[in-house]
Parts: sequence; C-alpha cells; structure tokens
Amino acid sequence: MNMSRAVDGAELLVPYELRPDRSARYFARIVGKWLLRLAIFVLAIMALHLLITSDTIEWHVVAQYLTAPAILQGVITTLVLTAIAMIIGILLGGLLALMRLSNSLLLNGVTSLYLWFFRGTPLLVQILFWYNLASFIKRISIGIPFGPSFISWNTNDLISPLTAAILALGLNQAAYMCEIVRAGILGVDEGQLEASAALGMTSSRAFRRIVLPQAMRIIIPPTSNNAIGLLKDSSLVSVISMTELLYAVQQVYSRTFQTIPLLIVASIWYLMMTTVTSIGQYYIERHYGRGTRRDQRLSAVARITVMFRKNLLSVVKVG
Amino acid sequence: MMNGSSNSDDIVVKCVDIHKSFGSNHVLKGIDLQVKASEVLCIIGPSGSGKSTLLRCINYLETPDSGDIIVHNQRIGVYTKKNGQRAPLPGPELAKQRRRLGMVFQHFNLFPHMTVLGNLIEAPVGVRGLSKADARALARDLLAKVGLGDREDAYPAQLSGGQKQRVAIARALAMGPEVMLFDEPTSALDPEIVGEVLEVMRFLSTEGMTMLVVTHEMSFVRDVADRVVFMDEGCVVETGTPQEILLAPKVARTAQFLERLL
Ligand SMILES: Nc1ncnc2c1ncn2[C@@H]1O[C@H](COP(=O)(O)OP(=O)(O)O)[C@@H](O)[C@H]1O
Ligand SMILES: [Mg+2]
Repeated sequence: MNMSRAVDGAELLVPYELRPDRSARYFARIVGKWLLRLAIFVLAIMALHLLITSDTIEWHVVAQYLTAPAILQGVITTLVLTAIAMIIGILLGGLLALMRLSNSLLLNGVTSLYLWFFRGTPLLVQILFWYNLASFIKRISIGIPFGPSFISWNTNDLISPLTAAILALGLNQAAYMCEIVRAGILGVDEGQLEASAALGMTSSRAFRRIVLPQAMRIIIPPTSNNAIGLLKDSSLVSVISMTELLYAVQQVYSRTFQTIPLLIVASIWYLMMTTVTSIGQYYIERHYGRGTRRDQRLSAVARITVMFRKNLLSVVKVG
Repeated sequence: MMNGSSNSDDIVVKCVDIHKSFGSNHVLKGIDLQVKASEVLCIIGPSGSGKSTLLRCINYLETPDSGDIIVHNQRIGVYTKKNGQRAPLPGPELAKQRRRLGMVFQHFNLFPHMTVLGNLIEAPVGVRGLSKADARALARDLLAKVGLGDREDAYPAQLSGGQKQRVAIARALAMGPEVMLFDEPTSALDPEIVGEVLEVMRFLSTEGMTMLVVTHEMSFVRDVADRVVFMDEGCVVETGTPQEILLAPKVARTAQFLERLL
C-alpha cells in the first residue's frame, strides 16, 4: 500500500476486496457436493423403480387392503390404545413427577423404584408379564388388606389382551413421562414462584397458573415424540393377540401369504398417523410458545417458512 | 396495649431482632427496623451483607430463624396457639398476609406467558377476588401511571428492561399493598434506563406510598429517602437521614463503603 496517501482519516480505510476463491480445495468441494447430489438422485430413482416395478409388492393388493374393514378396525384400535395409554402415562407420570419433586423421602423412594423397574425392563417383557398376571395373582379384590374383601375378581376375567395392553403401555409410558414432566417443572425459573408468592398466590394456584403453563413449553416436544414412539410401540402388543393394526395385518397375510403388500399397508397407516401427530405437535407448541418470541406478529405461514428454511439449510450443510 | 398503640399506629413495618442463617452462614444477626407510614426507607450496604435476605424475610419468602415481623400490628408468618405456643401460619393464611406487601425484584420476574395486562390482573382476579372488568380498569390506571398505557397487549419479551420493571411495579401495586419492598430494582438495567424506573418510584413516594428500598443509586437515596439504613455483615451499622449518612457518617465502615462507591 502507498502509505503516504493515508493522510485524511477516510483514506485510512482500506477497501475490502472480495476476491473470488480459486483454490483447488474450493473446486474439490464444489465437485464433491455435486457428485454427492448425483449419487443421492440415482439412488432415489433406483429405489422408486424397485418400489413401482417389484413383483412382490403388488400395489393392487396394497390398494385393496388399505381400506379393508379389518384393517380400518386395526387402525382405530391402535389409535384408541395409544390414546388411552398416553393419557394414563401423562396423568400417572405427572403424579410421579410431583412425588419425585416432593420433599418426602418415602415418595421419592417409591418413584425411584417405579422408574427403576419400568425403564429397566424391556417393554415386550412387561407386556407378556401383564398378560400372564393371572398365573401370578389369582384374584384381585378391594377390601381391607389381609382382612375381609368387598369385591373380588378372578384375574383371568379381568386381564384380557386389551387390559394387559393398556396396563403395559400406560404404566411404561408413565415412567418416561415422569422424567419429562419433572424436567419441565424444574426448567421454570425459581423467580416465577417467588413473584407468585409475593403477590399472595397459594402454592397450588402458583403451580396451576404460573409454573405449569411455562413448564408445558418444555414438556410438549418430548411428549409428542413419546406419543409417536408409543403409536409405533403399540404394535408390540400383537404378541398377546391384541388386534391392533399390525395384528390385523398379520391375520390377513397368514391366510393369503401376501406379506410384503400388507406390511406396506401397515406402514402407510403408521406413517399417516405419525404425520398427523407431528402436525398436531406444531400447533400445541405454538399455543404454549406465546410470549417467548419478540416477533409475535409473524404469521403462521411465515414461521413455517422460516422453520423450513432453517431445517433445509442444515440438511444442505450436512450434505 | 394502651400505651403502645398510640405511637405504633403509624408504624407500618416493624422488624424485631431478626436472625437468619443459611447452614453455618449467619446472614442476619439481630435486625431491628421500623418503617413509618408514607416513609421511604433506603437500605444500603455492600453485596452479601444480607439486604436481600432481610427484605425476603419481611414477606416471608425466607423464614426467619427468630424474631418478629409485624405489619400494622399483625405478626407475619406465625400465630399464637390457644396454649400460648407459637406456630407457623398455614400456607393459605400466609398467602393472605403477603397481599399486604408488594415486592419488586431485581430481575423483574414477570410472567412471560401472559401479556402485560394479564400480568397485572392475574393476582387481583385470582387472589384478591376483583371482577375481571374492575381488575382491567385498575390495571389500565396503573399502567398509565407508570407510563405504559399503550403496551397492555405486549408480552414481557417485547419490552425493554426499564419497561419490564415498571410493569412489575404496577403489578405489585395492583394488589393494593400497604408497603412496597424494592430489592435493587435498577441493578439489572442499562445505566440510561435506570432513570425511568427511579422516576416511577419517586412518583410513588410523592403519593405517600410506604417504601423499603434496597439500592445502590445514591442520587435516589439522597433525593427521595426519608431515612437510610447502612447494613454490613448482617447488622444494622448506622441509621439516619440521607444527609447524616451520606455526608457525615459516624461509623468508619459506612464512610469506607461510601468512599468506594464514589
Ligand atoms: N437461599 C440461600 N441459601 C444459602 N445462602 C444464601 C441464600 N440467600 C442468601 N445467601 C447468603 O446470604 C448472604 C447474604 O446474601 P444477600 O441477602 O443476598 O446479600 P445482599 O442482598 O446484601 O447482597 C450471602 O452470603 C449469600 O451467599
Ligand atoms: Mg441482594
């Protein structure tokens, strides 16, 4: 640079030169990126070709069974089973979380034991265990412990595939929900409770009106993940002949031997259900996200666009 | 009873021999303090001297180990059983007492999931039992008073620090407190914003609000305080008018503290 030129203050500013990068590494990167895109494109075409032209898939069979009454009944059972188990999971999990957060050593201990068992054993084992409860506990009765009982049932009458499935999925879900709810409540700033108390709120009101709505923001994303997981895991109860979606499909292909087309039918339904759940998650999150963003006036469309662009960008970067 | 009541009438808050320890850390070592009606009492002192703890003991966010907090002749947080023994007040009763003491925190602690108006009507409706319409009218009055009449639909995240703190002050006022406790209300604010919050507090004092203010803003202490308390290591070291404390401290520790501030 010509130093003598720099007398005036403005002259000191060296203009920033945007020189195009022409190094070998730069070109290698560009070529690499395009090669990768090409490879993915070719693989996708191959996969599509396989799906469309394969003899084993038999798309007309898929179409035939997709809305068959037996399959639809299975879909409904899967949905109902997931919903009931999720509700049990959320309610019991919430209760367990409160027990875990309490100062009582006894309640803490009970919760720890619960989590230890239900998270430490495979769900499949738990399903089989509940189904075979009758061989372990013969009768279930309500009454005075070790004293007279008022009502009593034969466990075998009580435990159908349905009740075993609900118990297994619900109790297992509760163990996971407990940790999610607990983390959500702990994630709310302590100052919020102090401000509530200083305003004269009772602790139960402060929990209901101030802590819980804020905890929901933290609780909902992992909860919908769990709901999606549960939707899929509910297929495990096919092992106890609970006629949900997978078992309904199995019953058909054990007769017709059209295994692959029917598994595709099941997959299509599972994908539809998980997709709808994900969309629901977006709206619930938006509801509980009130007040967390500065740009409140951004429309839903604009926000989805932003979300999409962010995700897309990260995918491209990874690629 | 007779002789005491005549001159204790205009005493709003009285602390008698308050002790508080956290584990082995003796934070408050016998604090005696009185705040008269319409008085602005400023508490100054080095960080860690127990100022926040004292304020939090007054509305029982912390439970004192011993001593009495008395607000208008009513003991806070404890009651005397029929057999004469003292027992901690049950939660809901304590919550009722706390409505009489407004508190403003250093970090605002606004409810982020509610609008400004929502923040202001939450406790008046849910706790004080006002109708929604009445609570809204009251909230709008207070927002106008703190200069935020046009921001009632904003969420806290959309406000500046100074605006947040003014909302927090309005929120505490909405409960109609007999005394306002301020714990370093401007310490989390950028210097150029501090003034707008102090202005609101100054206005409150002209309206006759009884105030207990922990602060490091010496200009506020000088201009607004009726009395100043200097605290150090859990003790009240010195009490006096702003002139006495700021200009002619009697105790060496007070002088040292003030010197370091300037
Ligand atoms: N909840 C608490 N648990 C343990 N120690 C605390 C707690 N609150 C305050 N302290 C301690 O009490 C002392 C006084 O704190 P504080 O009242 O916040 O002082 P100040 O407000 O004057 O800066 C400090 O040593 C602090 O560490
Ligand atoms: Mg403090």
